[in-house]
Amino acid sequence: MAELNSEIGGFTPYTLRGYTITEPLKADNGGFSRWGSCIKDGRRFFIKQFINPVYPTADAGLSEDTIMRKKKRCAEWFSGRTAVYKKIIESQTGNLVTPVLFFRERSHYYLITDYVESSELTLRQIASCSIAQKLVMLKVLGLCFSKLAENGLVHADVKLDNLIVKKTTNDRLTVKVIDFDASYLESAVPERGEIQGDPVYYAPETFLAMIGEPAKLTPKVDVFALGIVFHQLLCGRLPELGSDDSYVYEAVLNGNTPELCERIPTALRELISKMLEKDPDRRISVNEVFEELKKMNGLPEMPPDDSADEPEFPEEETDSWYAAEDFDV
Amino acid sequence: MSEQQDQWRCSQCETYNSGSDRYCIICGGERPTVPVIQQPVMPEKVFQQPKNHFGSRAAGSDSSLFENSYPSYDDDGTSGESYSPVSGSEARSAVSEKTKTADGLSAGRIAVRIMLAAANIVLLIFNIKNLIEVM
Repeated sequence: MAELNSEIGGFTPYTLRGYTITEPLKADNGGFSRWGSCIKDGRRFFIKQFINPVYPTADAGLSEDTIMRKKKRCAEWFSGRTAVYKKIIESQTGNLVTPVLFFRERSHYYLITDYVESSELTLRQIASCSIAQKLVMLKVLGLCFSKLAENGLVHADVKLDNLIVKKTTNDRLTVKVIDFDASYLESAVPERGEIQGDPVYYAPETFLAMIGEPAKLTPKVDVFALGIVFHQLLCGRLPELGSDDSYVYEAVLNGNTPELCERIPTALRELISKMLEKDPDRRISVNEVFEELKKMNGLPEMPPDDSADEPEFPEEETDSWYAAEDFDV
Repeated sequence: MSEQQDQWRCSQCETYNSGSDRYCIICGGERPTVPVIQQPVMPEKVFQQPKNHFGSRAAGSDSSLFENSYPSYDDDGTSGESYSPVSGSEARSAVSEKTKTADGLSAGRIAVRIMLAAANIVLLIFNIKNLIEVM
């Protein structure tokens, strides 16, 4: 670790493996990590410092056995993450934010990824785009996740927070998939206590696995979450649930059908219904989702939202999704 | 390599498309008219060999990761394990550097030129010999 001489606002920039960090890494909205941006050869990157695991250094005052145990855990974790990162790179479609460098420096592990500039559009603004533009975003996601599934990778934390909507040429929009911290290989499903995610987007089998019920975790977990994300991107809100259910997975497990927005074109509404199927074996695969999306052309524009004046979410919640400082890669 | 170079990236949705596609498979955006080789391509599956005990084992079988004793770990912690995929452009430049000389010609092209030069010299000697005989 090399410290640079010039101090910026009480913070001394430093360099790790050639990447210069010019501001303190932040922990807000970062889960088990701190993150920020860094620069190498004039190019900007995201950098993430993992808070866990911590590699035991010689001066940590630990017993020999503890040091060995911690080192073993770190090596297993590093090996597992490396396997996941390799699969992400193999799955690259152009819209997966892929790792550039993964390393340890002293007691912490770091991940460098490409930097993505957000459009900073709100969910409501996205939902008011043309159906053609929204269909492009759904197809981008369909392709990304079908490639991940093809390589046996489960993202396991698909949600709006982990998507970046980016403005491209001619004011077109595309979507970038970020944050693979919860991801796992289909062949190496995490233990019950290690499953991560957001309950808003849990698949029914994810919840069952978390409570110790028999459940098979596959890329179909992402299909369920994508169904919820598709609904949000199309109409700006979550599917409607009955008063007894707090989450979509809960409604599905209770045998209740989440109510999908009627403004969504029928073909897309039917597709989302198939994605929210309770039984993962009967649920549509993400490859089939992508194939169905490719066939959808000339969909009718969605009628305007009559409730557009009433915010569906607290303002800070909707805004935070797209705010640049909330990226978690 | 040629498969990688044939890819092109859509400027509208930033999806990688294969060289045979004239329009983007996602948004229908048209393939740029600039030479395909200059377009960004998908990162190649080339991985930098890990630098130390951790990384090299990580790239292989998990089961053998800890069969040996631990002293080979870095205890000073200043230079830990790392993993880095090499980007497509870096990989391409690394490959091309191996086959290029200072004037930018490939080894194959140089060999052809040497052979042509040799043939010209033989032809010249033959012609001089004929000229002397005629004289």
